[in-house]
Amino acid sequence: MTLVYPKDQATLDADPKISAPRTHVLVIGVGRYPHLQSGSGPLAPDVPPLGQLTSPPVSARAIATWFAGGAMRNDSAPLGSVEVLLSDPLDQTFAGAPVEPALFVNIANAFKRWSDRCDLNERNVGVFYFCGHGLQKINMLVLPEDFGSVMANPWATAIDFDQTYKSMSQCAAKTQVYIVDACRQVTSTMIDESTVNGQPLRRAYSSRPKTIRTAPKLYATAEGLPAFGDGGAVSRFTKAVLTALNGGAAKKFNGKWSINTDTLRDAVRRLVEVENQTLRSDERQYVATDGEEVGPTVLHMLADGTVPNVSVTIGCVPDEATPVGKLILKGRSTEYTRVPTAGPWSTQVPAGVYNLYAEFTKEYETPQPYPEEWIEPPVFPYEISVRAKQ
Amino acid sequence: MSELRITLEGPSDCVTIPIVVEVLDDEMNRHWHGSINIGGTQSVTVPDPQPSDPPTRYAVLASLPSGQRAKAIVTVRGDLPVQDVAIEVAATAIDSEKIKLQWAQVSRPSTFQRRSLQPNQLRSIWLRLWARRPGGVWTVLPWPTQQATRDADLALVQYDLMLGDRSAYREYYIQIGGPTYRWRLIAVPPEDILILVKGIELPPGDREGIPIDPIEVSLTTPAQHADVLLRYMRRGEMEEARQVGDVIIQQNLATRATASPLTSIIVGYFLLRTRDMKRLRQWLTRPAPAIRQTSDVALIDAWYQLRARVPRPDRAREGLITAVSRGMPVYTRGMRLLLDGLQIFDQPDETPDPELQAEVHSALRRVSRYAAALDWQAPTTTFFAVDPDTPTPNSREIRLGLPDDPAGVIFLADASDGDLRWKGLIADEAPPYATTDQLRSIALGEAIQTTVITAEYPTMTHPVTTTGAAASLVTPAATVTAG
Repeated sequence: MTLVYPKDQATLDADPKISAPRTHVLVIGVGRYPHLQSGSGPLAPDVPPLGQLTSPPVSARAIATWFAGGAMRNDSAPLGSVEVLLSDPLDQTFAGAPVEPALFVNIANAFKRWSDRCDLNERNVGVFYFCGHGLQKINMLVLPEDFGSVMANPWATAIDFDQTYKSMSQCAAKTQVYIVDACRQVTSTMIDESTVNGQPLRRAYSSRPKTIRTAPKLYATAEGLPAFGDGGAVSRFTKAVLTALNGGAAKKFNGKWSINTDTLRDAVRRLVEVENQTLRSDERQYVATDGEEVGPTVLHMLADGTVPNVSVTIGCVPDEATPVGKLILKGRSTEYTRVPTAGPWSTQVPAGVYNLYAEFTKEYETPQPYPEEWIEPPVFPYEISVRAKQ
Repeated sequence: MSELRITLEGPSDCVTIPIVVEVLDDEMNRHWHGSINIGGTQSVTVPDPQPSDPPTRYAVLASLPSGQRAKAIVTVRGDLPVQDVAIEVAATAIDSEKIKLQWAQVSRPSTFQRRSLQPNQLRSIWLRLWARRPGGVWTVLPWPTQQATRDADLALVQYDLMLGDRSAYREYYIQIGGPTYRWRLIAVPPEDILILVKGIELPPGDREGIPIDPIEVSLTTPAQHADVLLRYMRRGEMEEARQVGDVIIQQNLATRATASPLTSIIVGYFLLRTRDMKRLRQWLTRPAPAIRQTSDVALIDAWYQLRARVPRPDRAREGLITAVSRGMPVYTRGMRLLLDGLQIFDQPDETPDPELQAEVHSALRRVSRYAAALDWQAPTTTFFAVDPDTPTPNSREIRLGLPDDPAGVIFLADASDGDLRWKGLIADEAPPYATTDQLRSIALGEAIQTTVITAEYPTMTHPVTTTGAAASLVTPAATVTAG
């Protein structure tokens, strides 16, 4: 079984509004690779030197839980279905029920069901999420659990994401979001090999009409670069996607905080960029975006009265003033402070207008008037300029 | 209602460049979103506060193509019907010597970051200019002699190449290489372009030796409209791109005959990406003359045929094959579209005619060779290569060091005696025909006041050593035979 929302196929089939606009989600997380290094199966010759992963099943579960757990709220396209495929060496269940492993054929079948559902209404929103190994020589390939199982040609079970994306222009859904949390590197064996081709999950036909769609592609990393995830934890990119969905991508239009295809893409990129600043250059990750873009489509609305949080990082200029200053964020009704401590202050505050300043017992002072800042999601890095006391 | 009169202030050579601006109230509601030209003024109406309420504060935020933001705050009380708001989009002034870099203040302020480099980090890094006439062979041209803008503190060198009036050539590549810089070619459109080369500063504690790829190279055109649209698109800021894109498209369609080639090409890709089929058809009806015969136009047209209400696969296939026959697209995004399109047709049921199928397959193989050597991060097509016909996808084959032939080669900075000797500017047995400083200037491709007689200097093959006349561009310095 791969359907985790609604609870079973019968419920989905019985939905009288199944053909009304809906959001349909397909989530794939692959950590177990029997035919890669340290896997349980035979190792095909000339497979890229890749091993087992622990972050993708955790990341995929987190994304599926966000959708299936009721967090999503979109009156224009309420949640219609969530399918999940996991290849997790530790736990092959989702919310207590077993789910199918992310083998090529299972992914292909689930993709067909998902795309058929998306096809039911042009106002549907399709969300495709993949986390696992990825490679890119020319086209972006994502690897299912059984990658390398065909000894004579390990690429026989690789999935060609680019061709799959292209084929979905034949699907009626005018909004499709593709989130690919995988590396995009090329290995030395791939460079020498001329047959590095994956399989599309659906055929693209030149003569079939194409949907005019907003279909952003969010990649965890840029071509040729790796993506990162801590072992057994949600990956850095997926964490950014979840933060964005939880309000980090929200923008206030007509008094309501909402997330659309534009703000999601922008927020994810900025969240990862900010995290990069604390990392070594070889650990940094650069979110890449692409795809067809007719215009923004709403994906999620925050509940009325909810104000999204913003990750703020505040220090002083000059640096030496930071550890000796009390840092203050003074909003209209709330004040946030940090006692003098070494290093910049990282915290979360509700979006809003704040005065930012620092207080010192001696040495420095913040010139008045205190700076006033519009602190919007997802991130707000800031340096308070202070001067030596006269 | 009150009126906010918003003015964007910026460098004098940037006026008319659209920048995206939004107006938020102090409850974070967006009241207005649109583009305002630098130097221009836009009126925005906002509601007055109720008499019993405190004044409303508004933030006017400009999203710069660099990713930075500029801000102004205004208070609306209801007693002033019109309030002027000015936003400075380039905070730091630069001295007049680098006046041509004004636009970079807005689009890429990191250009002005001071950098301290390793000794000799830029030494022996070289450039040369490849060109091809339609259907011709690739040729190394003498470097167009000029005084490059150099700033040691910024570790920056800027070249201005005026390729717009060299009508005989339609395709150009700049090739750059060095002792630790992997040889690559960067596609440049047939127009006036600026090449910015900046040294990379290594993090402290990691400063031993010269790193691989010790410089970063970017290319822009004086057509800043193209740059601003491209930068918003590259950053994935499509909301901003759509705002400025609308203005730029209108301008571009209205002035197609004289529009900058790069702007026109980027507008074409933008229309395709945003599926603006009506204006794309208009754009394709009469593309700017300078780009009419480019690979980019052929492939954009092919995708237009594929995405038409009733797709025209035959015309699309033909367009894709034509695109490859014209060379590689200038813009990296075009490479992806070329691959995607050809892959659709590289199947027996899509192209039943065996001859056509062979053509499609051959075109796809050719593009794939380039794609495998491509730097996908670069905005304009950039690939590792020995020459424009020989991309080198295999890291073991990527060249370092000097080319075999010094013809057409200039050095970025600081040519060593060895470089001068390699270029034939110093020969052990030959008397000096110019001072060492003058020879170094020649090696940097710069104009000098003295005359150096090449005919009397047997090892010298490079026409740039004649007083630096750009007219020598008509004389190829070297050719490769592959077509």
